[in-house]
Amino acid sequence: MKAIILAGGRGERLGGLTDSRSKVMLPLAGKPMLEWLLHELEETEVKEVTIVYYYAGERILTHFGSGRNYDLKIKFVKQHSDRGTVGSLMTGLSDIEGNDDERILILNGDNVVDSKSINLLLKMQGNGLIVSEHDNPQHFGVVEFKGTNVKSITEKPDINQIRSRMVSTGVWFLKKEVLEKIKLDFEEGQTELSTSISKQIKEGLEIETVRTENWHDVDHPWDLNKLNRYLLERIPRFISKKAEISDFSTIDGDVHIGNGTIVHPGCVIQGPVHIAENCEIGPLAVITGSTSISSGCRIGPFTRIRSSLIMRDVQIDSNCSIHHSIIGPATSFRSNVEVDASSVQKTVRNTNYQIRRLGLVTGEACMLEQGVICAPGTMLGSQVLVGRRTKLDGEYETGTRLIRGA
Amino acid sequence: MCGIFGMIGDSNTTKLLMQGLKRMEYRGYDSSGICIVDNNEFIRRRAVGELSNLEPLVVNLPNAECGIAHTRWATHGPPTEDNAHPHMSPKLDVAVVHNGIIENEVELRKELSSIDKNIIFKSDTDSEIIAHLLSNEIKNSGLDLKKSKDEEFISCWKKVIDKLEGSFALAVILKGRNDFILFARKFAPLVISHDGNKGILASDVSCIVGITDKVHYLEEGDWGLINKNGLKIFNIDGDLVEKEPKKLEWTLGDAELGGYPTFMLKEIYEQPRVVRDCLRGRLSREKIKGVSIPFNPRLLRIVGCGTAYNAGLLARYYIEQLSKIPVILDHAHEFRYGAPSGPKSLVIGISQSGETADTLAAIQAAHERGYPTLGIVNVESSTIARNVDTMIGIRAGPEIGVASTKAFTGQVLGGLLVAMKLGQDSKNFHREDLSYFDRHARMLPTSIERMLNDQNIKTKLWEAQQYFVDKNHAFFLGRNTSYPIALEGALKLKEISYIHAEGYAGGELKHGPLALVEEGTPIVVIASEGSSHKKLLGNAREVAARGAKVILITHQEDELADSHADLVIKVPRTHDLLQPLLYNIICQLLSLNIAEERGCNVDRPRNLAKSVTVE
Repeated sequence: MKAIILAGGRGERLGGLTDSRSKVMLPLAGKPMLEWLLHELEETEVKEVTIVYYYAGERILTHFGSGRNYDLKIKFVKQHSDRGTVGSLMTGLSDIEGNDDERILILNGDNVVDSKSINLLLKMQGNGLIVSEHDNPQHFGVVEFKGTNVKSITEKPDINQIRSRMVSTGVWFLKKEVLEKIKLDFEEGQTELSTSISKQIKEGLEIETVRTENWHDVDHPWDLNKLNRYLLERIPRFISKKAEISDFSTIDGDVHIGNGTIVHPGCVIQGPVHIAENCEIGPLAVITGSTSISSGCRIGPFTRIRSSLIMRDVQIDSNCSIHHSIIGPATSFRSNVEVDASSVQKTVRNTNYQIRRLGLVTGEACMLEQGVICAPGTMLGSQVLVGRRTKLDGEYETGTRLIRGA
Repeated sequence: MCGIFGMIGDSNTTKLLMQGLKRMEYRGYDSSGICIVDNNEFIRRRAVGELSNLEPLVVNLPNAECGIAHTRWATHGPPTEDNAHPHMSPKLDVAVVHNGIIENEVELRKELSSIDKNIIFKSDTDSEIIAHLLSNEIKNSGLDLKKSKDEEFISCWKKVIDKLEGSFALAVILKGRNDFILFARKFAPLVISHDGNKGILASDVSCIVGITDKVHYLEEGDWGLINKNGLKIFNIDGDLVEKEPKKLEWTLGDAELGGYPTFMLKEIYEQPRVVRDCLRGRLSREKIKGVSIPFNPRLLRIVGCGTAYNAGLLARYYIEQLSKIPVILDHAHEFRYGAPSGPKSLVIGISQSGETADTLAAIQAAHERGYPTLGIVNVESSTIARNVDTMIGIRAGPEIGVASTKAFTGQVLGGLLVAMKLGQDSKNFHREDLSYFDRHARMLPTSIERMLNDQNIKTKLWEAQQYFVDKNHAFFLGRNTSYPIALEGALKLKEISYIHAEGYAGGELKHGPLALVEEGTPIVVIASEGSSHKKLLGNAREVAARGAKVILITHQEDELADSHADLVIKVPRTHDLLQPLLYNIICQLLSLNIAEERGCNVDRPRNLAKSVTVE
């Protein structure tokens, strides 16, 4: 069984977080999203995977190397140009041309879906699609049914005309002849996959469905915290023998601590928490809730972190308070930075999002000096420099310099 | 420079030998060959040019259990099929592969001719002589190729090795004997592995990762025999030695392309990781760890060749600026011609492979003069690493592309660690300085990642390469810490694109090189720090006034840049000491793009080989 994973897109709505990596490479609970998906596929009939990359593809190649660490035969192909999902799919298909599989599994690299649902899909007799309920169906292909089969898919419908909250997850299991027709359509200029399939449904194509509750999509930064929380639940307690943990620290619950990480005395770490390799924590730091800390981070004395996603090489000095936040790689906080988190309302593309709790979101390599205070929902681009005791509220573009006198 | 590979005890030997050669191709690629033991005969195949020319010749070879293979970088005689290894004795009873140079070749030829007046040498190589010598020795000892035990050949082998002067890594097989391989090494690399069933000999660990994960590193002058059941290693005095195998740190993925079109591109993109790994555990806010300099040197002498020399030059600026200790930099091969530098000198050798013959010779000369030595190397099991008093491993992982990229970054960081350590010891580099540096150093990998994925930079690079593609000459200018980058940028360009390129210090322009500038000459100016930057921009003006196309590589906060160049490439701002590394990566990408546009093979540039293990 072969699968094609479409991993070419950037993830525009994640701002600075995707400046130097695509959405599929954002780390959640210790692994990039794409790696989580590959681990799910290892639990299925799928034996070979072709990953189609485009944006920041070298990051994918460098991370996965030859792909030998998986129970899957993995191949990487570069999409020739940025021509929509179908363009990406066609690149993947041309790579596996001549294979004798009747049907091909197609997935998006920036979603996580569980192996159980994939296995149900693979057991279908004909063509299949995994569907899931979503709070904002208007941004997806909304699915209507006849029985359990697809009656229609309406791509990004007008909010007033939505008759179903069930959406297409983009996980398809399609016969060769269906793919052939998609190809013909593509040659005539159709670059949206669900539109092309909708046309075939109108012509009588039958597509069975599998419903899942374990599909997670990331569209906006705050979705990352949600998915991080879900993935952290799957991580058992593991404390590396190559980590240095002070006897005077308290480590409770499902906590993962990777090789080379040092936990100084007086720290309290309350799971579910994932701390990757070569970090330095404390002394007297407190890390709780659903928090992931990527490798190479340094968390200073008396600093408190809760329900946050801290990416690679982040430095947080003493006595900071950070919660419900997403901190991009190589961001550096001096001491006494305070992040406030609460319920926040954001409007993106004419849609209102009510986020239960949100603190600070930063892109890559921001620098916050001593005593910066961030209002709930503050969002920074990349390389934002913030001077001492500045109060932040709202959104700041990449490269902004908030230094007094400058 | 050449690569040798030998294998015993696996029924797929032919296939594995070819696979091993493929991995070793970076060591030399002007001819290649293999020889296997089949029943009572040798089967030998050789071809000129890249390995793909040999492949069709081996398709129909039988499976064998014992064989040797070689990939050549010509030193003695042009790359022809006759000069390709393996070489055989006139009686066709001995086959040998050799990496190194036999210095008493002339004497040995005379000796052989005096024994047999009609002797015919089939090749121009020094290596063929070794096969002749062993064949004679076997005959003189009255050994029977079919019946004698493998141990009986050991003493013959020792007699041959004792006659050889110079450098060598050798693997030898005998006609009809698929039960053992003889080996020896002296001033040329060789590693051995045995897993109880099969044995492997190779010039370099990167050729055997994936086949085995435990290897024996041989000392200078070690020799012996490997058979299906195990191996016997003797030292230079002829005593049997016991060696514990060491576990390989590198994995197969490190030595494979894994989706990248070239190793050079792959290795450029690995640099964020190299920075992280190289500084891990060594850099903190308070002090430099893991760099031990046991005394306070009054003078430093740095030696290296090629890219390592350029890294050494940058290290010189760092050390002098941070510690105020004077540094003398030498090309490793010129070191021995200089005068001894008096007491309290520390000699620093820089080499990616740790096998560079010139650098090794300089380290040995330093030992003879009684100086302590420090090595900055990538391969931590290498000869240089084992011969210096203190070693800093740069942790770059296997570098396969012949043009060095990630190793330069690691070597520069290694030099910087030494500079900061000396600076702290001499109280010229303070704790606040280190803390400030540390904050920026931790952000460096992300800055590199941002730069590598910056669409604007990609476009600029594409525009810049248009200035070069149809040109025969180009220049790189720098000042202060950007001068070494100008040298390295020029070296990269000439290595892989075959455009004649030179790096100059900006101040040197008026003293000669300016005469070479004409309409359209591409000139890359690498920004420098502080007051020297303005001077350098003045130099840029001078060349622009003479019709040159100026490409300025600088950082995002440089406001003077735009009015001084035809094209400006801006990289993220980082600490002054680290800024040159970002500029260098731009130069790497520029050279790579130009070379590819000109249709050159960037991983295997003509006439060059990866680790230069001959002087």
